[in-house]
Amino acid sequence: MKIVVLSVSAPFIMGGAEIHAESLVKALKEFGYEAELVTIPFKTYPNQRILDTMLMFRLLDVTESCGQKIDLVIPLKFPAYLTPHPHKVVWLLHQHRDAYDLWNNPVCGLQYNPDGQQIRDTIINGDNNAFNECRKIYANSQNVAKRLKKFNNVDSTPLYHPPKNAHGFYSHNSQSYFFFPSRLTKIKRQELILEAIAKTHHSVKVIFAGSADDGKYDQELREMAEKLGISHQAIFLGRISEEEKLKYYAECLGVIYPPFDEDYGYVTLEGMLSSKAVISCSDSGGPLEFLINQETGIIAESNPSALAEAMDQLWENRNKSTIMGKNARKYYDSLNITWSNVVEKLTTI
Amino acid sequence: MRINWFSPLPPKKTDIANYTQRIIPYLQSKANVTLWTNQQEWSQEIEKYASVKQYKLEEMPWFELNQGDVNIYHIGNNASFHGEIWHISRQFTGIVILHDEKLQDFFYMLNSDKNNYIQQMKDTYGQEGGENARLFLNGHYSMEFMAENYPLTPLVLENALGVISHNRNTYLSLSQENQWLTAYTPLPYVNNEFISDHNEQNQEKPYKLIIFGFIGKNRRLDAILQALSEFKQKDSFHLNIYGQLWDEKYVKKQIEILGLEKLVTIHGFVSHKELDLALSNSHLGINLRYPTMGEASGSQLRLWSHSLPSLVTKIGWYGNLNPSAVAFVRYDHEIYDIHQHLQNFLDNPQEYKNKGIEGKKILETDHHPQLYAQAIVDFATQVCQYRCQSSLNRIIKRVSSELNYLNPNLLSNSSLDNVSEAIKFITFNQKK
Repeated sequence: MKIVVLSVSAPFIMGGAEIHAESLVKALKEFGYEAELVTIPFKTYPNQRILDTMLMFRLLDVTESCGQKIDLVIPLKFPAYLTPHPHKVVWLLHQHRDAYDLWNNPVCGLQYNPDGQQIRDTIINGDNNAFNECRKIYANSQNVAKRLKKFNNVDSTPLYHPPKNAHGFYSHNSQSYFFFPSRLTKIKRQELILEAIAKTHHSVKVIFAGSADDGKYDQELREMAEKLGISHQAIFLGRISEEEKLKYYAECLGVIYPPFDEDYGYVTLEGMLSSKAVISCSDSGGPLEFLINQETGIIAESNPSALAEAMDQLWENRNKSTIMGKNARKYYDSLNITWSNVVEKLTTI
Repeated sequence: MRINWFSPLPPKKTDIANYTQRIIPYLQSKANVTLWTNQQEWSQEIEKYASVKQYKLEEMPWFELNQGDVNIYHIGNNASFHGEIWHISRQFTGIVILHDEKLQDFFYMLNSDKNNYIQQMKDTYGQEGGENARLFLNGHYSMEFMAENYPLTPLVLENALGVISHNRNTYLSLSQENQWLTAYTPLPYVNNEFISDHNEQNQEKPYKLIIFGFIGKNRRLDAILQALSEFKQKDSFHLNIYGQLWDEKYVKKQIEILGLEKLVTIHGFVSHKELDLALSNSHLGINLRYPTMGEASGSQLRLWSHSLPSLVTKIGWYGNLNPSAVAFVRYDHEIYDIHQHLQNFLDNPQEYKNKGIEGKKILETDHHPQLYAQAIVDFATQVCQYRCQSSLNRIIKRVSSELNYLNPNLLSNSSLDNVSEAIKFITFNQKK
């Protein structure tokens, strides 16, 4: 069986979506399928590029390659799912959120443009048509499935998958820092954590790992830390290796992951795999599907004071933090988040 | 329905500002309307019904505007009132309410650099348009000629999703273009102020003629004065002029030259109440236009609200008025026709009175503000559903430019089928 996994790419940017796509292809191969990843670079600016890329995907022919039939396509993201195929099974990481849940939110880039509404309506129309021609639709989390139902009235089934190198995560004795690995971008809310650090009673230290989407935001964050007088407490590592990432996870006191309405959130699962308590926010979306407040981590309100209190709590009570971390790992193991389950579901058409 | 409404606002001296002030209370009862203006000041009265927000063209609050459902742009011929509104409409799709159809004068006034005007003419009408724009600038053609032959309507609508016209002919002609959603709705009339019973007015001579509003040359005052001065029984009439004259000194001089000092009174700008009183005491309104830019006339509705018979030019919107409600004057036989009507009025005033009564019936049936407000909201709803299709032209332009780059002669229509199917998939709801 030949399977094409369809997605978009952003050259020189490696995030959760890219890892997800590569991991899926690897898993499909491991289970005996012939699988390829097909991507088209996707830029969301200027807005015309969104329409261009929608058209590009719609014009793709992946029904066969060199005379050999392609049996199944699995698109993962907007606008890859616009590609026509008689056997199309979407596993949705997320739609173009600016057109949906982020519309009217200050982080919505689309809305700052005069043609925002026009592009938004076109995206929604194209999405509805694309979903209508799918054999099945899976979402990578309950949160994504809920959004799809809310905005497009489309039913889908949540289908969880393990993070990359899930087997590689381990735990060591905690050092005195929290770990916040993520792309540096507004929606991940690093700024909120900087404000929270400034409000902590203890000299809490947070290590941020990841690069800025736009190549500039890291500097803004550094300047903000400087202004808040917490430069010594907010360490920005930039992009780190996989090995370094596992080590920072293993030795941290806890993981911080407070994004706004995240789709899925590998960071939560990686923290759990590393037996660490995770601090997230009540409006963080995907992470909430895996966190049990005060048992496997802390769910705080998304304001600096509440987050500062959560950090202080784990900082001053290391024992409790350790117990929460162990609970988190146990809980992860109970969820049966495996690639075999994913592959079985996606290939049954 | 959240509507962003771009219009001049009172105290700007334009009928469109007054129209906005009058229609907003009706519209606000059916939708959430925000008024957007570049004016430094506006009537506080209007803020009782809708919030007013100021914009600067160079710092447009796109985010906030995107929070609304639709933008409605009011476009008329005066570039100082509507120029910035047009600039916004080019960037942010919406509905244009076209108060004038012929917008040659608008673009001429809009461009201080006349090279831009020439380029716009060229872009819209090709080489011929550009050349004739040059000839016009050199005095070879009149503005009337240019407006008639090069109305530039498509340019004002270049990014519109939908167009509303108060002129049925304009609506029909735009509908045939098949480029926009189009709607016709008669201009609404709202006047809560004093309106007397016309049957009780003084019927003794001299009969009172009235002309009012923003009186430019196209209101034919020259011809009216000439006709009056040459009419044998001119002493049976008295002409009252209310409003703003394009050149008051000139008009006064003409009155003097024609010996009409005792038969014509210039009142200038007066309050609405005073004007209504004057209209109620008048016997015949004069509402001529030549040329017309395709506008519907708020003045005509006001005349009808007083059951006042009126002379109108048989051209444009006026030419399509019900003949039982107005008396027509041909633009190329103005003086002759005015004389005929004045004589007929003296011979049979009841015939004219009946026209005024018929006009009021039309006003009450077709120009009700509630109906108008509902029509706007219904059309806006339709336009919002159509917005995704508006990307069609944008994508086609993009594709055609790329195909042209590859080889303009290479592709047959059939080879473009898959492209058109893909574009259709993106921009049209396939379930319908």
